[in-house]
Amino acid sequence: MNNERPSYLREIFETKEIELNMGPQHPATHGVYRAILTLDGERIVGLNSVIGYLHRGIEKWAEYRTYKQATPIFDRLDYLSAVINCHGYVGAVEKLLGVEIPKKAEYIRVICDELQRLASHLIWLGTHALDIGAMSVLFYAIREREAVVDLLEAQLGQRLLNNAYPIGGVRFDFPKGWVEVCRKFLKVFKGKIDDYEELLTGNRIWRQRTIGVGYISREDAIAWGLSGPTLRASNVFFDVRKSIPYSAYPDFDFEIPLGQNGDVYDRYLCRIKEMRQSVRIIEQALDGMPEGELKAKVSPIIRPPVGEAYFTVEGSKGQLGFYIISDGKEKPYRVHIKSPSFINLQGLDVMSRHQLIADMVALIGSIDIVLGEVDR
Amino acid sequence: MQLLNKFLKMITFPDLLKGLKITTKYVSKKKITEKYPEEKRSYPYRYRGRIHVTIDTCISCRLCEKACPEGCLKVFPPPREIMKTDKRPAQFYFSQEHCLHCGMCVDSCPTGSIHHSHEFEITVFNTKELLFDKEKLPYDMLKKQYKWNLVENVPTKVEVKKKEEV
Amino acid sequence: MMSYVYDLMKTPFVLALIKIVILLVVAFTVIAYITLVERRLLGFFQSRLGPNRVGPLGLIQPIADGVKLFIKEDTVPIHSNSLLFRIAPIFTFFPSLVGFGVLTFALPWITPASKMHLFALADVDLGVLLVLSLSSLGIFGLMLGGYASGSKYPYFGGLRACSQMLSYEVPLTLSIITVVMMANSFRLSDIVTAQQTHRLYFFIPLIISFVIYLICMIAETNRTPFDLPEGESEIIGFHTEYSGMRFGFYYVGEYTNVVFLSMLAPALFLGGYDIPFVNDIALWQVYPQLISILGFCSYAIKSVLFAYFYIWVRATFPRYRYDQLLKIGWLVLLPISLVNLFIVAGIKLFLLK
Repeated sequence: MNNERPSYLREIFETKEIELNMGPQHPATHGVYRAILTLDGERIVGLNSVIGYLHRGIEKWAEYRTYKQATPIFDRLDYLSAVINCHGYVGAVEKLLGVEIPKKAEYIRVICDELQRLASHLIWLGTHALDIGAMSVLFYAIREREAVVDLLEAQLGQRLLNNAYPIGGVRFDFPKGWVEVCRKFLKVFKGKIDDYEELLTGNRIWRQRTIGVGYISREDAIAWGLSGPTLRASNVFFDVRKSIPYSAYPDFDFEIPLGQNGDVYDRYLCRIKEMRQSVRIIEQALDGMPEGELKAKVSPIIRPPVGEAYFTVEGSKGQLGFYIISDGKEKPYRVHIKSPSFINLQGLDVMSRHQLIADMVALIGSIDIVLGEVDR
Repeated sequence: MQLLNKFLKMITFPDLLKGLKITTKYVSKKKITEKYPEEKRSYPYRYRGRIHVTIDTCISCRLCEKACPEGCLKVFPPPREIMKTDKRPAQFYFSQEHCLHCGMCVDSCPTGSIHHSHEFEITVFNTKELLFDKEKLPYDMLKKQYKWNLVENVPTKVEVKKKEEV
Repeated sequence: MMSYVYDLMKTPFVLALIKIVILLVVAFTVIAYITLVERRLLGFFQSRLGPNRVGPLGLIQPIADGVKLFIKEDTVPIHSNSLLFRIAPIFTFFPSLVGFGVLTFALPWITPASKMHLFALADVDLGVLLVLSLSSLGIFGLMLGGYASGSKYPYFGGLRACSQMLSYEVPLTLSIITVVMMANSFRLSDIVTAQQTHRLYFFIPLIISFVIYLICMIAETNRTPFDLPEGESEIIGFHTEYSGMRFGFYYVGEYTNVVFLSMLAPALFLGGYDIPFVNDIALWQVYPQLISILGFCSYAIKSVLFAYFYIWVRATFPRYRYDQLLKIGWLVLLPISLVNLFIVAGIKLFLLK
């Protein structure tokens, strides 16, 4: 992949590099991300990421709340996959407390997590396709996401920022009729994924736009600490659900889709395949739902023993980790978040070298950043 | 042969035609748009709308106040003499402005006097209207006809208590 | 007095004026409503409703949009080249509007006094050439607008617009030239007549030219999948700095081009105002008025098909990249259209004497 302009051209014509400010108010930067691009013509020769426009101090905020009170704020990290964020934090506190979660609660958590992953990937698919210019996919994806969000709403009470799990389990069992609605949706949804694939996967314009664009090698991907589909597209087998199993994931039979080339197209394929796997997991979980308690016994005032705990979940963007230090009081001493979007964003520099502005848009879409999680 | 096949694929655009077929498929299908002010969608039973408080059953324990991450609830218990007989709060403030609709207060309430209503149109022109007190806070859920989704009915704690009394 | 007015009405000058007014009114209505039709249809393609709030079925939406654009503040950025910035939108808008003048919409109308009236403003000898040169003028609007804005995003948009229009003008012209060769005339009504007399629409023998025309037509009007000058998610477009009615001119200009090119296409390839499966000219001599009107309807339906195609493509495809677009223009379409031109010329020379 050598896209560099031949140097003799530069000697003949007096060319000049210009700086272009992309964002924070740019439609394709998925929020308030700002990239200062150094351009040679339309080719990118330098990238300077500026972040922090959405900084809310969530880590510090959590230090001033009790363990229970801090739960809802972590939904605001990656606001497109609030349930998984909540699972991460709650799981870390449970690890700190040493609580055993009932099997049924774990199953419900897995189902909600995977539904949320579907919703997040659908938003990604829509916006990524819109960035590259395919308009209809956005609306088709949003339509299906609406159904997912409706399901989550019936179970958890809110659509977007659903303070999903209390510490120690889940609040409710599934409402009556929910399981049937969910099964019906999953059945329909498989056909819808085929629709998206027919619109994009085989399309020559889509292939030309994505294949070979934004390449990152296996070694680079590991070295930059990428995770999630962005890493797996570079043919690295790492998925927290399989590598560091948590919750009820070891019970289910599913595959981790891997890419070969590490370009935008592979990341796209990885996520599409991941959606199919999520459907598989949910179906298995619905079939094998155990009976039992919904919530472990946790004292109303949570005072974990002095110590620290690190708990990671596979977020929809990558590995999401929560590191909590307790000093034995009601409030956490320190909460640190390993947010996948922030770390995946670092890979953008490598990926965007010698690409065009139009590719930059495809790239930002393909690593699927959410600025709430980058800036925290 | 393979080359010919590839060439044929290049000039007959099968991939693009497939895409065109998908988009036409949806022209005649049912549309998903909800015409919002005229048609309101139904809300599931657990929907977390604006907070609703039944002052009569409140025992001024202030657990909701402690559970709230944003500190938007304030409960003033009555003087000690009255507290022995009547535990209802002397004053109760709720600031909609800071409410996250997280449901922590509902989880913590021992009597189930605080719960979420289905009211979601909570926009006002003046932020002062977002501060609720004892008189303003309770509101009749049946007066405004919000459609309820009948997927399931998990009774709220109030209803359970009422049933037990009966 | 009345008779004087009536006499005046009959003079060619006044007649032409009346025709211009009618043409402009109809053209503006069509252009205004194609924006609505596009948005509604896009909605249907995407399983939603589209604008349906202003008036019944959203029919007053274009007027509301127009009013909005008119009452918006008209800003001129400090760093812009103020004069060029102000006049650039006019360059896209008016050339495309002039093109309507050379189209012939139906067979001549015969009055009871057996006088012939052409269903066209001016059936120019070199109609096709005029159309092509006018559509090339449209580039200046985009280019100047992009340059004069004094901002980097519009600058890129202007550059893209310029090179894209230049590279797609060539295959477009070459594909039209084959039609001209088949019809032996540059006059648009002659091209239609040729198709009527041969009883064969040109898109069947000239299928390659037809496909090239379809692709270039989209590229020429800067619409998806070739909407790079606008490329709303990459560079916001050559009209980033424009607001109010100046933006409106660009917006309307784009749709004027769409309407115009989709009205030109049937004349070139689908037999224009010819009614399919009917011997028009023989019938016209018997029922002239009826056939004129029916021919006009068939022309309208054919144009609508092309406009529908525009919208359909926009709803479905992603956008090409700048370098890929140029590659397709120069390395795929240009050679194919050149070879096509030679083949058609050879057939014309040696087989169809």
